[in-house]
Amino acid sequence: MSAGEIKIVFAGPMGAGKTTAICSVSDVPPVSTEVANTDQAAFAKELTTVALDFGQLLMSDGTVVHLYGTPGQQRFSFMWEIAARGALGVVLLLDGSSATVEEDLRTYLRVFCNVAQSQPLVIGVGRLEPGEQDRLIDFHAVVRELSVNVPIFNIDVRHRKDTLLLIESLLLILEASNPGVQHDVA
Amino acid sequence: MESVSIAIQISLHACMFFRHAEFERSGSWNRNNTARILPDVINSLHFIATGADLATTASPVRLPMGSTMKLSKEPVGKLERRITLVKSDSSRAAHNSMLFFDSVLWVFKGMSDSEWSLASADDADVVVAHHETDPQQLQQWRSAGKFVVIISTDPAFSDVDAAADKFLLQVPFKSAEALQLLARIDSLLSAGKKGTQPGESSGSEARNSPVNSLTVLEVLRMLRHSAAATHWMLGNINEQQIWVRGDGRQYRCPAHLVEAIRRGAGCSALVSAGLKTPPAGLESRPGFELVWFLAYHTTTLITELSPTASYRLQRWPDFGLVRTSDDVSTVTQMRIVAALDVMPATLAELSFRASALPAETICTLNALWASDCIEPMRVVTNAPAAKKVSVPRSVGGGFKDFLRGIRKHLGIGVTS
Repeated sequence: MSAGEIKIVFAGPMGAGKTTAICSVSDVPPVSTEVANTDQAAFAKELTTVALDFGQLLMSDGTVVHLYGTPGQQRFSFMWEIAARGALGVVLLLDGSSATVEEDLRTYLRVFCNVAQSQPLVIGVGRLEPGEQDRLIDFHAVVRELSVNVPIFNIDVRHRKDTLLLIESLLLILEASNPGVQHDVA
Repeated sequence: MESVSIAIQISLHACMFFRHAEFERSGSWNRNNTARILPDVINSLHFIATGADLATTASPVRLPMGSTMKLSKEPVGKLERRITLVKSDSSRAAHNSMLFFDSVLWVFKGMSDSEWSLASADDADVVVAHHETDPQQLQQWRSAGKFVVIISTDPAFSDVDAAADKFLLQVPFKSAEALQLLARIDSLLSAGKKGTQPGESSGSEARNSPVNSLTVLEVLRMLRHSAAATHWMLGNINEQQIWVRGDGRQYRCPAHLVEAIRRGAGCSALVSAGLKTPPAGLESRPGFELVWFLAYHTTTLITELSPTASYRLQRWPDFGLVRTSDDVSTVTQMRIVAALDVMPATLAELSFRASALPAETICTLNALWASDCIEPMRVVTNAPAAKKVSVPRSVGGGFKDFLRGIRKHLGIGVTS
């Protein structure tokens, strides 16, 4: 990562779909730093990310937007803040079927809201059962506890259009906040 | 004097809400249920007190057991509607149900769009009678063009004549149901309709009318404040039934009806399903979706909204749920919400900032209001600071070009 790059960060707990989301939009085969998951009792997946997933959007004018997926385990939390600094925005993905989803939400919000309060953040909640979509009301209550107001969408990152919805919302937030051209001073 | 008057009103309303709470739960005036309903009473007092603070404005007041009504000191140009309550001594339940309906008229007097006053049966526009009333008498009233509201204390009554359910209140019923039914009749009277025989398809055009959809929206908003998840309301879309859960968080309907709702099919007034529950095989959907699309397809600004008031975004709607195959429409809605997220705005300001047509802004604002995503701004001396989100330095000077480029690359959105 370099200070001058344009990047979007995908964050969230293990199993939330960060790697899948990046794979669905990246123009190049994403570099995936996955190893065998040794905690299959807690997380029913064979592989897990141990460094950063990396994808790219290669635009026609030569601009490259880097897509970073942070590892979900708490021991890698130091990387979340580093990855998010200077990012266009953060896409936070949550596993709606997890018993700790609300606690995960609080944990990540505290980290990313501290990184840069002026940085757009959007939340995608996946794996909600049919009929559970109204649980987003509970997640909004958690967000309000921290006095922030961020979009929270019910999504399925296996569908490319859902990942695009999250990215579009980041862009719209940036656009609405900057009728002219403004730059981050930090 | 004004504060004393308000205090007296609060006390009287508190007493009536206490009795309403008892009746709505058990269908009887059972004072032994006091402890169980006390939280409701306290909640009512809170809302009443809040409403009293807004007594000088026309802002909507949310009452947990009543309609969303405007509190206004000056009811201007209200139509008078005449109503008669036919006494019934056939049973204690029948007697109490009439008393309760009477109290609803009294408690909410002055808060509805029209002014309801008691009159004789001959002069009344609406007759409220118990289901055991002589059927011939009911027939005579209907033949005279009066709307007949049946209050039933028999759960099986609704099965006798399904068409009669249009104007049926099944005990125990909530104040909100009675008010919503009166509002529906009021709109029919305003449209020049007369009361009809059961079975006649009168008002079929009214079912999809903006007025009835608005009434349904008010009910759906009220349901959000209700914890009655075990009860169900019944509505009608495209001649088919939909079921709305008593807390408003879920609705059920045939699977093919979901798309019709998202495309703008209107819903007839919601009525209590009594003891009935949804049959198996229906699609279970989040209530937010129903509210959003009913409101979005109401093309005129909802009466509770003002074109000159400023509104603030309380929370983003779930666009993962309510986006449609029309990407342009979805992105426009999102742009409007993003603009509102930055700073509160009036209708015109929002339309300008979001580069959206006024019609699109009206529809989106309706949907945001109906789903409790916005609230009116109180008059404040200092406007709130705009939410500031910065563009990273790495983007460079051509931010607009960058946005255009990335959207084109990903095949999303419409650049402003």
